[in-house]
Amino acid sequence: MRTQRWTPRSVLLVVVLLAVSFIYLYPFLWPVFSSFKSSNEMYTAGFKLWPEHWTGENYGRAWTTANFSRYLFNSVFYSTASTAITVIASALAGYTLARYKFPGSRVIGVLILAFLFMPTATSVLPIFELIQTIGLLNTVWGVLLALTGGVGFSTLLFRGYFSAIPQELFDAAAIDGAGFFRTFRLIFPLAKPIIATTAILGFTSSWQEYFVPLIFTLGNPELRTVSVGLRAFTQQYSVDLSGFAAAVTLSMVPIVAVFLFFQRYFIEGLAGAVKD
Amino acid sequence: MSRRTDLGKIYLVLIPFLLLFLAFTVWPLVRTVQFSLHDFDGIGALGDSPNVGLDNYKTVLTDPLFGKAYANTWAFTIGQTLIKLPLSFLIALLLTRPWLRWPAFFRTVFFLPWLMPASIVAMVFGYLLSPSDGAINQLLTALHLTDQPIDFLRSGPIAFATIAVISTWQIMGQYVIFWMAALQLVPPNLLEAAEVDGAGALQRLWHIILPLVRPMGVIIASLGLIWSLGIFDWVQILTSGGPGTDTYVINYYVYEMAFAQARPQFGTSSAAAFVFGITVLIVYALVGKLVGRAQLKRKEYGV
Repeated sequence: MRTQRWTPRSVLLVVVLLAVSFIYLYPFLWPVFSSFKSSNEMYTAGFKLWPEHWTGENYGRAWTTANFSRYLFNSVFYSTASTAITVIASALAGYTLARYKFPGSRVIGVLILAFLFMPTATSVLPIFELIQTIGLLNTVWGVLLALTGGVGFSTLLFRGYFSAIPQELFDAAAIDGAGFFRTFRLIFPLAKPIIATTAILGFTSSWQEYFVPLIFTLGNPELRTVSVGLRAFTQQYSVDLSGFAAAVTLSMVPIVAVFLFFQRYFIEGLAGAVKD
Repeated sequence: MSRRTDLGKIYLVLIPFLLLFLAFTVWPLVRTVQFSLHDFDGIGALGDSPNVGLDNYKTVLTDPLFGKAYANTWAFTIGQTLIKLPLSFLIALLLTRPWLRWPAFFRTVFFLPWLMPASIVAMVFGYLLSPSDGAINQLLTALHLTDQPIDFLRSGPIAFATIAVISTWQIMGQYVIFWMAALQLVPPNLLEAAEVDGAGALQRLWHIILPLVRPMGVIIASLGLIWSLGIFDWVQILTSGGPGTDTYVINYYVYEMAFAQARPQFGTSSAAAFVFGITVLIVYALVGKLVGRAQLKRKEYGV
């Protein structure tokens, strides 16, 4: 890390970025600050962010109304579980595809690429039928599987990452007599940054997904995610703006926490600081 | 490298991936084609529903609403991609300058909106953009930029532009991350050497940074396109395809056909999805060819 100094250009950039940041974050900060305003103030506040009188009562209402706490719990569960499945399945596959040639490896590689470009629209109905056929429709597991999906993209990420690891490491492992599983165990710690990357991408994408959970919870509202459930909230309580703002703010807590936790590794990964 | 003893282990560790990939990626395509050839309501077994040949395709291809949704989806995709890719690249470039102060803070600023689900952002903007008491209109009026409130979702083109801007705002952080990862591939000492040799910032960008990030850039652009093509939540929440049918997109058409009809039209819906999927694949193949040819040309000219 080199020491940084204030220079004319870095002052200029920081000033510009601070101004941009405020505008950029306004729609993000709006629900956060609105959630501390009273319902009356909400309607007279206009574009002002800062509450005149702070109140916490919206949070109690948001938490208990419209099953919100249930939705939040669901979202945390789906995202965590689907991230775990994605990371495990695609790390193993990415590793073998990157380092071994075996009958079928080429076909798998081509298929992943070809299907990467298949729009969600094309797969959602058959997945619906599949989940129905195996008897998981309207269950937690059905939603979880549908949300996890085909893990092709994360497998590509892992394959790319493992391909770039120098061959010498593998040769050294082979000289030490390491077999398939021991080599994987030796190499795996090097993959921390890409695990962080896939975990963040996987978590956010299942956290954000709307189309899939919407369709898979049509028959059982109890299973809804926050992204789908909040919609019901606004449709039922369209006048309760500050309650909505509190619900939105609460819904951001888990994902921001996950992001801040992984960010360290994530940025580490981006910075290429693979060596521990 | 592959030794016979490893083969069993390789296939063993591939099982979780193969199950998920075959069940949720490959099989759905096969099944979509089968659905599209039947008059299927998604309730009973597919075998019990009448085989109607290509009738569903005829229905879809002669449905003006499908044409509209199709054109809208591409227009939105191209428009949004043209905004989000260059802008996120620029932000990533600024955020990775070694002389930038407080980089962690600014990185977080640009990532935060990405952490909100698009559906929730769409609802928040539903309030912010409201012509009657939305914060944005109040601000515009207070600044005397407009006399009367603007209805940002009034008509097709305006509604689409609005959706493109706010969805770009929400997703920007993800592309900034991708570009930052791509920019890590540029060795700092190469840039320093160029600087010592007197190359200006623009020259370094053009001759060193861009060529080095291009392979990743192609992937990022492809992902950017494919995710835009999948637009659904924004439309469903902000406009429900309206006003009228002005903001219909493919996913919305597929959804409406399958889940919002008195009798679900899985067959027609699948035909629409398949036609769309195939054209997406063709476009990708063509773009891939063009990119490949351009790269060959560059090599010929030694650029």
